[in-house]
Amino acid sequence: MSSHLDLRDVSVSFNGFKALNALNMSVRKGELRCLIGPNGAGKTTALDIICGKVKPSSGTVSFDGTALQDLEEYEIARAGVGRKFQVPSVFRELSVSDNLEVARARRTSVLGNLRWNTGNSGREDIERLAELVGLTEQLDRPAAYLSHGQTQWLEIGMLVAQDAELILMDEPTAGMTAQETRKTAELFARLKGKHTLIVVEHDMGFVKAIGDIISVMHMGQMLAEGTAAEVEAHPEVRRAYLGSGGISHA
Amino acid sequence: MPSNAPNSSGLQRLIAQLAPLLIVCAVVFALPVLLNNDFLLNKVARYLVLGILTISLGLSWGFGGILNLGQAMSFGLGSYAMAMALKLKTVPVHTGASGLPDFMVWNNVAHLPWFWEPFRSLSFAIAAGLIVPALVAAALGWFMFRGRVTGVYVSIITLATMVVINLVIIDQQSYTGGFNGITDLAQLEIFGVAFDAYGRATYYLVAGCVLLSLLVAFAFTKSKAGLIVQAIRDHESRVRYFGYDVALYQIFVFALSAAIAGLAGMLYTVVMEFASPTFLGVQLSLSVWFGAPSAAGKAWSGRSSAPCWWRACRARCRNPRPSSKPGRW
Ligand SMILES: Nc1ncnc2c1ncn2[C@@H]1O[C@H](COP(=O)(O)OP(=O)(O)OP(=O)(O)O)[C@@H](O)[C@H]1O
Ligand SMILES: [Mg+2]
Repeated sequence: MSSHLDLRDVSVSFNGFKALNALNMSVRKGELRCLIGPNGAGKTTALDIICGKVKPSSGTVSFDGTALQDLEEYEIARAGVGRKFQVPSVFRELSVSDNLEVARARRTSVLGNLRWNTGNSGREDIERLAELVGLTEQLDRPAAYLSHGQTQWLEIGMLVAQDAELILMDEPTAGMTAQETRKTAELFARLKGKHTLIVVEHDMGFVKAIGDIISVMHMGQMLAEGTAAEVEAHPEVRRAYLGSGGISHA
Repeated sequence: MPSNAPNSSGLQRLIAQLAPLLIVCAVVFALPVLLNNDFLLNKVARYLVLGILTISLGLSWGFGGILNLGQAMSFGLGSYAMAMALKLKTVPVHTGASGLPDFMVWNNVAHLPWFWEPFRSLSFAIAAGLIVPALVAAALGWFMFRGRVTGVYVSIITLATMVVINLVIIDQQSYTGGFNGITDLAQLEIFGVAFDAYGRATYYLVAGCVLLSLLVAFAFTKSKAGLIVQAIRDHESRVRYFGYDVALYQIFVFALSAAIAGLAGMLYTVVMEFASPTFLGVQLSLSVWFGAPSAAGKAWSGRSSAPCWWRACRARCRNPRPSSKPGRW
């Protein structure tokens, strides 16, 4: 069976430091893959490679048969890859609804976007998205006024708006309350199947609630892959997390 | 809530935003009725032309966040395009009708240079006054924005390019009139209407172009492309991950702004009755830049996605009053 996303021997070094060292990873279509690992393992860097923020020094990334490593960021996005950043990245000057409108990238060309965007269907779409992420009351407020948790929600909503085939989520629940985290898990469960997701998370409760297969990274390499129980029993994983209080407290 | 509610409130907001703009334009159009002084009217027309230049700068700098110090380059190119056409409409003293412009005769030029030839057509000149600045800006933008040049480097590159073009114009005296510029022009005549610099027709032409520039800028800021440009100003790299080619959006707003500046330049030639290298000089470029700091500066401090070109225009067209309110529109 061919995989949807395939990283082959991907290496990256920052000033001689190997952040990724021949990393291999395959994800099937419609899968929700959790990516865990101790701090500095290279999880964020792995997502950076997929979305084109960082170019690999060697190795290949193929997505639906397209080689991503040679493409520009916007080309990768057009190929169907969406990304949520570890530090929430939204347009702080723009209102919540404008943020969602920018993310609804149905047309990407300049000339195609010269028409006025007063369409009713667009507005309904945005109201539905805002309801999904609980920001209906904040629609007309600048994103700068949102709380940290709300900003996380907004960026998640923007990714739903973007409707990318492959969604990369970097620590989406950081700074959320337990209740908000549960809501996020529900949302992800709904996205699964229709989209392929890779979710970087430290919260093991969350990972167990949503993940099918968990990939564990350590020092720029893939350490183990399997279900939550398999991974937790893995001796090398235990060793990697040694001193940080075990995997569930990472 | 009725399903058409968001739409009608959107319409109301649109009208509320357009209203002050149209009021200003109404005042501008009514001015000749109140002001029975041709000299003053010419002066006001001149300021209105600089207002158009400020609108164009507000679009690229205030709205697009492009720190463009060389806006007078586009202005100057427009003004020369118009001056070349009007110069060829004069009857030279030395050579008679359809002969060489006087300064070329003084510089021992025997034939009209090839790039002057098409300017015998006024329509070509007007098209060139818009398209040449836009193309130059697009080419410059291609190198800058493809190379992800930002901030102060954009200022240096745009300023330097303007200075280079300025020096070329001064240096190539036999083709450009050099330091003196292109003087002693014929009157602009469109569809039988003559535009005397001190006449009402010219004033209304300028006023009409102010309205046109405002509407074009307004329409752009309200388009989705305008929204994406604002998003780029706010967080450039984030926009790429939604699939937008950021450089193309920057090139577009830069070129659109240059075309509007070119329009202003053409009108400036008509109002001033000559074109001069000072029209694309550092001094003019910077003075326009400082003409709208309160306006465009607001865009920096962020918070409001207000159409700052409009504030830029207000700062110019009315008394420059520092806007104390951040503006809730
Ligand atoms: N731009 C960079 N320049 C230099 N070093 C970098 C850069 N980006 C990441 N690194 C280093 O690469 C390693 C992997 O970083 P990465 O951010 O991918 O880790 P992570 O697994 O996401 O960690 P965390 O759980 O803390 O987010 C770290 O040691 C980090 O210091
Ligand atoms: Mg990280």
